[in-house]
Amino acid sequence: MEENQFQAEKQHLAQTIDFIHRELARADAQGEAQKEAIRAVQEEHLESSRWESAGLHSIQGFAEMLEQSQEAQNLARMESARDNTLRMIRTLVRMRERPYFARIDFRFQDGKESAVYIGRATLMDKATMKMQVYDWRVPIASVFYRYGVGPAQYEAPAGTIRGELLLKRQYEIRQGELLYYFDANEEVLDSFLRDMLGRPASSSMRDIVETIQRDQDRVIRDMEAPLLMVQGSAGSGKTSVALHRVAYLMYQGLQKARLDPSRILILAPNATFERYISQVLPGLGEEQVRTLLPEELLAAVLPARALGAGIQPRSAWVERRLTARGEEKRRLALCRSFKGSQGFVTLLERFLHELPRRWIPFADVDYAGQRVARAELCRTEICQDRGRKAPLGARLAMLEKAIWERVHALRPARMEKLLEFGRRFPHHAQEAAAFARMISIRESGRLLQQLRAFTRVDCVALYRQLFEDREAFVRLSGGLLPAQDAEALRQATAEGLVGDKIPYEDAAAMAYLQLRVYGCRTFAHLRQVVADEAQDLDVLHARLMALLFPGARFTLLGDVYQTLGGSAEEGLYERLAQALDKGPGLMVRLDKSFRCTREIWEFSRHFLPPGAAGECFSRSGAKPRIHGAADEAALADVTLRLIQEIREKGFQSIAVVCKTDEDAKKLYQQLKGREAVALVGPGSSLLVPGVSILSLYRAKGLEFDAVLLWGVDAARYPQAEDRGLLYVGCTRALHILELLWAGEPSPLLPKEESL
Amino acid sequence: MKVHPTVARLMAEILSADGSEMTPNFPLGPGSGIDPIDVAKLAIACEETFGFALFDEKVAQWRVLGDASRQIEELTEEGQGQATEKTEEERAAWFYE
Repeated sequence: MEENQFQAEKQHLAQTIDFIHRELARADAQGEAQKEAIRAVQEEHLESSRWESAGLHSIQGFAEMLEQSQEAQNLARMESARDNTLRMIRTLVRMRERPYFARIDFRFQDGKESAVYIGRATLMDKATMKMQVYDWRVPIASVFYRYGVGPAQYEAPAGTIRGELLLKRQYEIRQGELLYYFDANEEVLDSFLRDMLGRPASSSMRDIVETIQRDQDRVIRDMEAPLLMVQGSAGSGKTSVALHRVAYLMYQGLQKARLDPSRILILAPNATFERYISQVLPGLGEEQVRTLLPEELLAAVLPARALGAGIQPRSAWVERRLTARGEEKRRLALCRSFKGSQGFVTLLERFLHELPRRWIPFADVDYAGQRVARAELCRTEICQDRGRKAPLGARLAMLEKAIWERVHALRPARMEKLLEFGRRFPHHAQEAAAFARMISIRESGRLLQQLRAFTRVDCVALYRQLFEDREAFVRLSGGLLPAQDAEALRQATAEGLVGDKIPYEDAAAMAYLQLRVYGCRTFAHLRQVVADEAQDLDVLHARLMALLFPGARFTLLGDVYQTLGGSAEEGLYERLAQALDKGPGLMVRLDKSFRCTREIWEFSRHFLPPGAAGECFSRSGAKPRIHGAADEAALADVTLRLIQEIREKGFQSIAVVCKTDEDAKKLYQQLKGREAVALVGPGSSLLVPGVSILSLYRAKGLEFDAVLLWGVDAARYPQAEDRGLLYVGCTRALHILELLWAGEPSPLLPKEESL
Repeated sequence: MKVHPTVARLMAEILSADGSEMTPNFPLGPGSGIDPIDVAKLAIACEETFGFALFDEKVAQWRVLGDASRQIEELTEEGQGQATEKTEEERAAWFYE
């Protein structure tokens, strides 16, 4: 690093920071002025509205109301402008410490050269229209991520811009000071990345803008594919990529003014994960992107009154499958297998087809001595559909409307009769009109109930009926699964539906029925949906997403080797693509793992099927170790000793990962008196620095400096299908991995000597 | 709800009660203790005041006073009636035309 160049870079940095300070001062002043202006208008508005409310219900009052509403709109505009100023201030404050992290010198085809400084947001000098810093998401910045020195190109709105990358430089800037920079070639970049990866983990995910890899960048910036599927091995940065993709999409959307934050949705697998990622987007200057958990999505579809005590959280559903034994385990596996398949969707579709033919109780309805609805005619009308493809719920609503129209036509005559009736009673004579009306209201109420019995479809109740009706279930499931399995499935489901919470897998099916019968417009405005842990999605979930987000493009990220409680399925993405119905989709593989050391990565491969793809970004560390003890009490001692050792090495975040929540709770009780540990439950944050005890389910997607994979014994991990669980557990570790068993080791463990 | 003060006034007159009790949550339906004939009177009074008809099957679903106000507000938004209450003068003028 030449001294002259270093000084030049320091000077440039100082100038940029000066610029930021000036902008900040200006923005602060602007913010204050806007605040004052808003306060003044608010006071005036309040005064005038007090004045006017007395006369609000006169025609003159209407004109005044209109004026007030214009004032209110003006106020809203001012508040929005102030919000923008505040956002800008926050961005400037963030950038003051580290205005940029990279620079590229690009020579265009006409010979012109530009030095482009890249940071987390754009900084432009509005006076001179000079760009001080470019946002990492602008088209030209992609050159930094994708190319080395030499010919390069990028996609701009005007088309492909070709040229030459002359310089690619990265900076280490902390608290406004340039520590060093380097000109990037592969070797140096790798070492930089290694350095970044070697840092300790924190309690929440950090952004990776400075180290996005070429493949990852491709996923982040794709704007074409209506369906983008990313198979990312553990530690490939898949989730980071997902979040950076969201940041990129929002940036693109704002540029084109077609996609604002409210049109993007992130589907998070669980609440701990949601907390973990919650800081990445704000750190990138993006806020307000909605995240939803699977249970929340289902609850948004199902009617509130049908939800009762609520939907079983997905974590509880997974927990039950992982802790079940013997016959219960077999039944749960059967339910999981069938309900996750296309066969289940077929069964639900058959049921939907049958609903108006066999399940809806059409009835004759009379009013004022006349038949206003005939059961069989109604049924025929509904079943016919006439190719209009309106959902069943809409057709029934139209039928109800038509019947009411007939009733309304008969009503005047009916009211006459009731009035006459009322006048016959001396004590009602004064109030004959009110009396007649009262009777009419009562009659109409009863009529309403009669009609609603067949014009309103209670999907939740019908789903329960389906599994209670043995004959119907046999008929509808014919050819989809063996008869004895069908009966076992029917019984298991019927029993599960009796409890106070709706089982997670059945809530998904009920939501499907609800959507098919009534539709749901709540999420129709979404344009981009990003779903992580896609390996846990079934065909049914994909169909639900296709129905809920008809206008959206999808990005699904997952790892087929991290399916909990099942085996890896390479055909997963094809099935999901088919169910989402967005065409074949674009599939990208992120096979390079960055998280673990080479030693941990190699060890974890032991639990993958032979020939599984993957490579490791090499970084060396300690070899994983296996420790055994006679019983769990002795194992607790081993655990504590290892925690102490890890602490002495200077590592901050330590996880003790158990198979289930149940195991985690028991272990916590054992250890809490002897060591500062935290039990991670639904929605809780990780303890950093510190020791977190959590289940595999909750550890998915997270990472720790050190992982103690606890209870890897024959009782808990007896069979081949448990390999995936061990793979997930091992790949949570950045630097240290220890496996512990009590009693008898799991047959899946490699034959290593234990301490 | 802009129309609620008017609806509340009408109900207070019918029940000879204090207008301040006539909140949107004031109970109306079965089990509320309010005589059904008073609900019928409210429906008639609202029709006369706002100038459009209310369907009895909707009135049958009123559980609280706010339900009545909301229904009337929806109807005015749908343009099935005038947005504001007629004054005595305006009502009388119509009668004499």
